[in-house]
Amino acid sequence: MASVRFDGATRLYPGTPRPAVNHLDLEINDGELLVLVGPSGSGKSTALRMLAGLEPLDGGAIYIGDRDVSFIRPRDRDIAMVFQNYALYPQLTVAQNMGFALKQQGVAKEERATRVKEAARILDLEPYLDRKPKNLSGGQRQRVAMGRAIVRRPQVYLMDEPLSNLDAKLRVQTRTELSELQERLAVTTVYVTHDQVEAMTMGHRVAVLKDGLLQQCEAPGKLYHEPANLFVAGFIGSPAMNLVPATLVEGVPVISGASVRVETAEKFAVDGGKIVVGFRPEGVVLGDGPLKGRIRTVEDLGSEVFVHLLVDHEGATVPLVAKVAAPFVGRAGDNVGMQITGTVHLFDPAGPRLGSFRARLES
Amino acid sequence: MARSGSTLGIGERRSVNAALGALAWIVSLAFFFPIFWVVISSFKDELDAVGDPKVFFDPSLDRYREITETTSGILSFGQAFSNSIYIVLVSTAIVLAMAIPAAYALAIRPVKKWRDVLLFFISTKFLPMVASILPLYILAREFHLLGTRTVLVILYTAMNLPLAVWMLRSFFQEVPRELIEAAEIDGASLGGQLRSVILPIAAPGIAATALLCMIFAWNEYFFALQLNSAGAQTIPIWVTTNISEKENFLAKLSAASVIASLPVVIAGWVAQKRMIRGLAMGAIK
Repeated sequence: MASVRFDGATRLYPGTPRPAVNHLDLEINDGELLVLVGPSGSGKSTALRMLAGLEPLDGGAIYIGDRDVSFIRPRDRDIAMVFQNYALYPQLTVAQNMGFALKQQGVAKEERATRVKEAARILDLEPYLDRKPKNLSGGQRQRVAMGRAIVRRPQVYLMDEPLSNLDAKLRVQTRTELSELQERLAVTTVYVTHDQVEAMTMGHRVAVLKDGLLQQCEAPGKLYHEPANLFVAGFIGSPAMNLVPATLVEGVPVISGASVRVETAEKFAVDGGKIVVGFRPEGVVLGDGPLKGRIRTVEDLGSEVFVHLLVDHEGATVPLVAKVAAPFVGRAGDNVGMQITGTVHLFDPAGPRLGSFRARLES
Repeated sequence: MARSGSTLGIGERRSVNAALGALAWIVSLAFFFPIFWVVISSFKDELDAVGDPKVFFDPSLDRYREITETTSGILSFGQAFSNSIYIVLVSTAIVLAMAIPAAYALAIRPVKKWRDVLLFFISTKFLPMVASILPLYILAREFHLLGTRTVLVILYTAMNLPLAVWMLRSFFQEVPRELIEAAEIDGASLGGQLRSVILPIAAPGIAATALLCMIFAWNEYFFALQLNSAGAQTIPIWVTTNISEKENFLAKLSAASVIASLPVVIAGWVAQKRMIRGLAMGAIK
């Protein structure tokens, strides 16, 4: 087992103007499960492939433990990878698939069989060891792919969206199993996903990438409550944080005639007198309130209700979301008032978060 | 799906269906008839073969016996057959041994200007065979290869190699990238990746390629005639030289043609399933 360190790692695909991964500095602790998350094209898969040795580095270095692996072949890096489509060898049985890497390493037949059996027991694959991948269900294939990684006992596991081909229910179940397994094996794991729920539930820490640049790397709770910038604020959380560009009037942001009174003595002076106000959907209280809007749609999930609203603000219609407890009586077209409870995040329109404060709306 | 109100597709209308079926039969029979006639004639005696077509005749294997008899001074069937088998198998083996690494390189780890490389390969087939025969003849004579099996092995290898590289390259491209990467991470060397991942998956494609190479080599006539008129003749040469034109020879020629075609037909029949899967490999998905 070992830690992993990206040290200014850069990958520029030939013929593209901007690096897919741009000076990535990231340290992953021994035994940690770190999730790389971001929208498509953010560079998360490229970063993982660089660590695997499947993409060359155009700058910087990557370390596994104390060893600089930047120019070492994938097979000599002591890693195991789980691919999105599992990449099982179709002509080999489950047992042969799982034992393939050991066979390449020249591990003796008996030892191979023992280790494959052990992994199969952990993953409930014992009855399927003689089957070919095509005769397995999606969930079983996923487990074989996991098994192939486990039997190797590598220093680092790399997982490239390993759950995205499973149906929703199985995905949630496998997510939990995977977390438990990682906890038990305590092997350093780098996990790539575009699903922020997966990222938040599984990661010890979550690294958010955008356009090849690392935006923030924190524990899930901290990422949620203290997003470093506008992108992270909008990306983490479902439904997404309400982000409203507002004009400062005497140092106080105003949304559609309602002043956002923050509990701080600080005055915000931003270029152009603009600021972005962010608040989570669960911080919006519907009913009486100084901010007026109308209901666009109501999504009733049973346990909670997402109310989508429209607010006239600075000559445009701004969409907002409120997350309220069920039951909710309002309907599309109704006019409602809003109040904000809890934390309000203030952002420079250029991106960075200026601060987070308790706040109230006043007319 | 509700059928009323929607127009029927072409295959769904019965009369059209029947007409298409009949047309297919007519075309197939038109193609099949000459072959059928050759096979029938091979069982007749010479007079029946050239005379008015008879519905009933005494089928006999005499023509086959005559042509496979060894007569001194004339190339024997057994000799020609073993020459052909040797040349076909050896040249195809060399073609595969050279084309597989080349196709792997072009498909999986393309060099710069790989398109030019591919075009160069296929451009060697642009030149008419006749145009190259004189230099080839002189070269063969200088290297004392005239009338040997070696000269045909070399030529058939060269003739089939571009085609094999093209075909195999497209089959190898169908092998999912992740599988090769998984093998790479799992510790397989280049050769190991080829052996344990790429070749098993592309096996139908390789079978199809090998079969085509064998057919082309088996059927080749021009080079075999020009460079190999004595000593190591192949089956197509035997078919034509074996027949004396002084008397009636149609039945004997038919028997020789049937024998010459048999290996290809059998190989095609055995490999049919694999070959179709191989040829369709790129098409389905």
